[in-house]
Amino acid sequence: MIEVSGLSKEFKIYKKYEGFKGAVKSLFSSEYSVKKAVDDMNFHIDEGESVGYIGVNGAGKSTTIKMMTGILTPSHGYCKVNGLVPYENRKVNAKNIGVVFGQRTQLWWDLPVSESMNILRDIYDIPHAQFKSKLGYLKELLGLGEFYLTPVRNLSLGQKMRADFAASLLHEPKVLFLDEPTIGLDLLVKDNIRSAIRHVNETMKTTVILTTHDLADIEEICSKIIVIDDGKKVYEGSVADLKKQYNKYKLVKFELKPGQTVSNNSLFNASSDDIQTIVENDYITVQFLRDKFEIADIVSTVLSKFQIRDITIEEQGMEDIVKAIYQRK
Amino acid sequence: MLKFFRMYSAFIKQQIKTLIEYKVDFLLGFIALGVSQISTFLIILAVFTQIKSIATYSFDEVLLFFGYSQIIRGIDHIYNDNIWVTAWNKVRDGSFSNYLIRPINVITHIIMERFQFDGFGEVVIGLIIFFYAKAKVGLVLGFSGSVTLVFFILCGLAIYFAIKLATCAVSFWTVSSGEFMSVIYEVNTFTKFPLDIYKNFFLKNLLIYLLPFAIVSYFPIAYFLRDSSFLKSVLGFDYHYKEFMIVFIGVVSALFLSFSFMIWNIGVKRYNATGS
Repeated sequence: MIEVSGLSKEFKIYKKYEGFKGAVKSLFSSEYSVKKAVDDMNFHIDEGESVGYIGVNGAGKSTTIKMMTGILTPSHGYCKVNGLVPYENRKVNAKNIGVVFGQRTQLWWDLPVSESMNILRDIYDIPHAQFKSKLGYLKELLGLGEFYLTPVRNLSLGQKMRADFAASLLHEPKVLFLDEPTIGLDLLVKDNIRSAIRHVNETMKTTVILTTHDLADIEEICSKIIVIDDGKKVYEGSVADLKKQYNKYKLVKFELKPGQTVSNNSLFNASSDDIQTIVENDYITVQFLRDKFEIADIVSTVLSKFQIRDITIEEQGMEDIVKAIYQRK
Repeated sequence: MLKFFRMYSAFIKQQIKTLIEYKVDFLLGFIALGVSQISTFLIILAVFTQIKSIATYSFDEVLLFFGYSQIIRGIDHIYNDNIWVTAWNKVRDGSFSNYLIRPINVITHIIMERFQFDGFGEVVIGLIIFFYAKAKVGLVLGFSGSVTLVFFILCGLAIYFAIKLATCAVSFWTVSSGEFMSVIYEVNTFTKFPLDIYKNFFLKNLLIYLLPFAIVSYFPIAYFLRDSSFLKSVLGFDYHYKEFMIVFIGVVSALFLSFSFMIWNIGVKRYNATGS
């Protein structure tokens, strides 16, 4: 469905100097450096997949999305969406894709949501019957009814986002690009948007590509993840694989009743890579490889030797996993 | 085409609603435009109380130029106002990208998004002055004359369109070109009066060939008022048939239109390359 090959985007950045004098100086200077926003990117996305495209700020996520939606032309390489080169067949490609920018609404500021939808119907040449049923479905899915006749400028961020999302689906796009669709939203709206994305992906086989900084989005929506850093791909794989690969350790934290002395490292007899015990004041923390030890054994061993007030068990979360990828470079 | 008007009418309807909502704002804008129109009119009036004619044109004839130029300026103002917003902001804040993800022509999209009612003030005043002056001058157009006039109006609109589009396209390089656009646009003020009064060689040729506002209103009205000898006095070459003027106006308009589309397309390509 989407094919990205050797895709690169370079920007010229003219050298700037500080202060007013510097501004005058940079006016006459033509020194520039080349910044590679996206650098030799390769990936392949199948129909019906939902892919999380993540990376730190400035990693090149939006630039890639812009090339795939036909807004930017790449410097090298190419990408194909549904067999079309987006920046060469802008208008045809636009009919096949839906785009949502979380940072910026694409609805018309002064028009009510209803009018925006009608105009989109004409822009995309949507047949009346399809429009009617689709709109009814989206209104229900996203709860647009309560603000359907309100001008966009009077909507809250959450309402705007829901309307934007509905607007991007009216023409039944084969591919949906979502650039930070949950940014700044409250928990309920986030939940609503996420389940809507999942629903669309599952029932209509719409391919979804999503950038986000909220990893819960990825966990709840995506089957596949691509991590980029500095314009380069640093990880690609299924979300389940990623969890397995990084989620090797478990952490058990014991809070002791006061007045007990602990002799360090005498608790478990194993190589220190497999299990580690850290003693701190009234706490014992045990970190262990989950496939080598049973949590019950660990707990009973500690319980048999000490009087315990509280136990907490922690798993490495998605966040730690991704942080590890980001920092691994 | 039908589709375009359906979309356009949705925006127009909405603008009417907004108009009703912000009555005072609209009224003030309308009055302000009216005052500026009338003051120009009064200047002409004041000048003609002192002298009987300017460069062989009588008072009523000058009014004809004035009225006609207002009509075209007003029509352009009504339908082609969003291009100002585009020049000022769309590249700067990146919202130009929104146009690129829609399956329709970008220029069509820009035009239909805004319908400017203020322009009706110019058109109405222009029409009143035009028909008053036309009656006083005793100009009778007939059928072929009316067809020619419609052609001239279309050419005039094309020139306005071309100049605004080309100057708007500059924003693809400079991020914002609203200032530049308004400087260029204001040159049209010169064409409220017959071109013959400008004795300056550069100004005259600027208005014919570089920023052809003279094609918008001067040549069309002069075509109806004068015989072929006026061509010689302004253009510097002599043609026996004054119908040559129709060809000249048509060709210059077409050239400018295609030239501005070219600049626009290069600009959009550049936007594709840089993103801002």
